[in-house]
Amino acid sequence: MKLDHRALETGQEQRLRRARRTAAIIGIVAFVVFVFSIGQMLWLQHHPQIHQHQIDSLMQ
Amino acid sequence: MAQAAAHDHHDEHHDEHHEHLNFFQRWVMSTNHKDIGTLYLVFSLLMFFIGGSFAMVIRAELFKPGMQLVQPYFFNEMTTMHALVMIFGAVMPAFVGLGNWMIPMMVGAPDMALPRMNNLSFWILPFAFTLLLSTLFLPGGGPAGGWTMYPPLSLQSASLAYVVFAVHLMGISSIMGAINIIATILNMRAPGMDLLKMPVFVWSWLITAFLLIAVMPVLAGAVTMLLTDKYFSTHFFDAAGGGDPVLFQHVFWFFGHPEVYIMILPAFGIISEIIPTFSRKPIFGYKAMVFAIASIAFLSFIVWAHHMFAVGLPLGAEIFFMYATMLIAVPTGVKVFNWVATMWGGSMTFETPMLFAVAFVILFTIGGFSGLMLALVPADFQYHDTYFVVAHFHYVLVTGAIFAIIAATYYWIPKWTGNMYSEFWGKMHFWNSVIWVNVLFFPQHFLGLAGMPRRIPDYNVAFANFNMISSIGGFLFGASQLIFLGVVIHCVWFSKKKATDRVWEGARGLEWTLSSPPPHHSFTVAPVIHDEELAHGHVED
Repeated sequence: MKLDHRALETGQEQRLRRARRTAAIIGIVAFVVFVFSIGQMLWLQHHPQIHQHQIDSLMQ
Repeated sequence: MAQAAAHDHHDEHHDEHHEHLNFFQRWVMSTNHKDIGTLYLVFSLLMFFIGGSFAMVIRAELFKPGMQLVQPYFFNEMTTMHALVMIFGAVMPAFVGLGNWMIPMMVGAPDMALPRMNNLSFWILPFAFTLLLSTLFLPGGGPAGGWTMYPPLSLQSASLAYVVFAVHLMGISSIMGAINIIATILNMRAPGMDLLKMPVFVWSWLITAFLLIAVMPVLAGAVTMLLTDKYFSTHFFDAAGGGDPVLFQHVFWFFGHPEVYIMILPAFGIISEIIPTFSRKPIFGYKAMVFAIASIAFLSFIVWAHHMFAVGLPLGAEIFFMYATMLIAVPTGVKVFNWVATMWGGSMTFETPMLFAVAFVILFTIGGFSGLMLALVPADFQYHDTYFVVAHFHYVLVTGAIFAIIAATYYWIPKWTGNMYSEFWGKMHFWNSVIWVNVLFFPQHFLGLAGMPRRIPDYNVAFANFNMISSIGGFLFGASQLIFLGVVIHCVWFSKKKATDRVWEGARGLEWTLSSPPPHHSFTVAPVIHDEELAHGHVED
């Protein structure tokens, strides 16, 4: 029979485990935002017509 | 993390253990939220005076028309560094320091959720700012293209790589701080501390932390692209290679405008703690205050192009960004009216924190009104890049953010140290600050309306009088802050007057149930929440 370690956790240990999970999720979100902000610009560089269209629409 | 859990098993040994730490262990290796909060606050004060000294150079050069003291390039370095140091070195770390000190005590937690990451996020900062400030001594000079780092100008700077790396470090520090604050608030609250029972300061930091997570990586991305444009032959922002410098402005201000709110939302939280205490009334419209902060945070993402009206946006975009910007006045107005309604009919007293809080409400509102003027597209064409803009954001950031940080220090320092500060010198500091800050910044509205451009070391003689008045105000406002330094030093080391646990008669909330100064770990056993002890225990539906 496998021991359920979580059942033995104190309230404080439970809160800390959840805090670590929250922190990991938010850290991943921050990294994705960073990659996306560069990635979309890279994508535009490789699609010059769309980039030009965007510039035209911004500057018309 | 594990350390916090371990601490929890050895509660009774905390303070004894703390006594045996040497200086290095206590301050460099610290994982304690109060010690790290103190480190943040001391660092912020140091940066405030360094950034302030740059401002003194700027005002000295502008004291009279003609070139007085410094070379134009050095002047531009000063304007750039003043902004970078004040924003990333003084205001943001001060709020993180206040958050570190107060959030665990306010929500009934023993410490921050991730104490070792907390240590790392602070200790990155001194390296970041050493790197940034060292550029002033490099052969090519420091950054001089403005804190906004617009290409192609910023790409000409020899120190770009240093600045970009420093900004990356500051960003990493801020993101880790934000992660820690979110994890602490969402997971470490004492049982019974519901989200809608949390103090407004905690709410304001929770929302600010989400803003940080959303926009600091965007700044990191933008400056990384600057770096690759300069050193790795990319053309993200280089028109000759098919790139577009205006795209940088869009990306930068997508970060930059929420950044403005990152610097003011915790200030709203602080003022929402101080005014009820000294009015001896619960805050008027608690839920409305929380929703107003959240609304301002949401709107901050859809107004960025109001910084760029003059680049030639399509009319539809200009109208959208104008109205979206003006919409921010609604939740901000809710907050201002609620602060006034809290004071209305209250049994008010005017200790130093309250004086700064009342000054905040009045002077921040002036900054808000000039912001509304700048939101008007046709008017902005006239005001853009003038001293009117300088006056506007200094009313928001100096009499807004910095006054709130000072108010918070006076409000909480008796709790932190167990000593009362000198009320007489606190009031001296207040009256000197509030008079000279207006002498410093109010004439800059007139200069801007008359057409004086910002970021220039010399100007037409027509602007001479107001500039001289502004510089005198600047020198005296700067000197007034030495009083603050004296009050803090006196309170920490020399004050004989001990603070009570509650400190202020009207103070409510878990933090005031702890001793002054509080134990090394705040709530080693989760406190039992009594609604009547909370500032917002009885929230009406």
